[in-house]
Amino acid sequence: MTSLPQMPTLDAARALAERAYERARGRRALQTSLWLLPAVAVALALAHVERRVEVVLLGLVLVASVWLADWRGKEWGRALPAGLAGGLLTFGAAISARWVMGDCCTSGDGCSDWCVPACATAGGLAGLLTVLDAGRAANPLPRIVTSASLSAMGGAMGCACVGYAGAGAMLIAMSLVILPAGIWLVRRPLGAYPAR
Amino acid sequence: MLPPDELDGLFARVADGDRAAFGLVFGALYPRVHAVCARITGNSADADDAAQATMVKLFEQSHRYEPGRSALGWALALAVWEARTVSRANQRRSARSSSELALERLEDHGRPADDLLADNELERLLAGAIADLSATQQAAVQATLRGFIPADAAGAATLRKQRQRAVVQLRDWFTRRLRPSDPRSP
Repeated sequence: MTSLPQMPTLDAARALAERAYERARGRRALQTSLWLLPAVAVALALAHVERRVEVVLLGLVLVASVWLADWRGKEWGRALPAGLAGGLLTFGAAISARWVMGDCCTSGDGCSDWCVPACATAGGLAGLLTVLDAGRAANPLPRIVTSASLSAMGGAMGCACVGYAGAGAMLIAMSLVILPAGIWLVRRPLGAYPAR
Repeated sequence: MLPPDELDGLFARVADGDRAAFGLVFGALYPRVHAVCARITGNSADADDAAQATMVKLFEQSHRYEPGRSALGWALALAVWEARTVSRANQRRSARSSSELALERLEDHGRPADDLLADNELERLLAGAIADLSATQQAAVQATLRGFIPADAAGAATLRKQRQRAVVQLRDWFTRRLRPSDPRSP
């Protein structure tokens, strides 16, 4: 008859399992976050020379944030699809505006005619996406924070091509949607909606 | 002991990144995993190794867990696999180490045996080499392999001397047999 494991063995096994668990989560989060590098490269290629540092910094922070959210898991991890979709939407809107208007977004005031409204509209839509996603969460606050941050960073990478006006318009539109709805979601009674 | 449904729910939380559920899941699964490993390996030390490897793999792959699947079933399937792997590795190790031990006993110093011989050839080569020794040296080798220790000092000295000669001859024999053929030699 084999005896039950002794405490040191049990503790050692648990410590090893915990380390393996965290390592695996970290590796998986790295795989997820590295998928963003092509988007950062596109943003960098399209950005005006003067904005490249900002774009690189935003891209790095975005990659790190995605890694952190995916590694952390729970509501932070579940916010990734909505956050990345919102970011991609805003990023895509800014890039599309530049595509339609040629070089205007990188050079003159004329670009604001298209890019700022495009960024603002996409920011509002990303905010809506964030709120809709958080509405299904049991704990909406971390979901809103993560999703909104990722959307904002992704969008800012694209909207930075027109300078702070584009990024600012996007952030303002996003805040106008998220803040009231987010406050309502956070303050609603627990169990009001089925959690996902 | 947690019921399977509750365990599945907790494992789903772990897979989702809930560290608070980790200890509960570990505490619920480890004794069952260890029991399965102990039954297969037959001893506590191997069961510890196999159970540890199982838990490491289980939590390493926890993100692949699909809600609705049996976490216990998954853990036990991994445990069976790991326990069998540990058992097989031990069998291979013990088969190899008995051959190595035989040569190490003969050879106090010099080139290690595994430099000279492939594992699967060891027994055959060793038997051939011993057969080429003189009867006295063969007796010394047999006595050494069986762990025979002479009672008196004179007997011990004689055995040691015969053994040293046998080792020298065995080394020459192995060197001759295993050295790549020299194209310049006749």
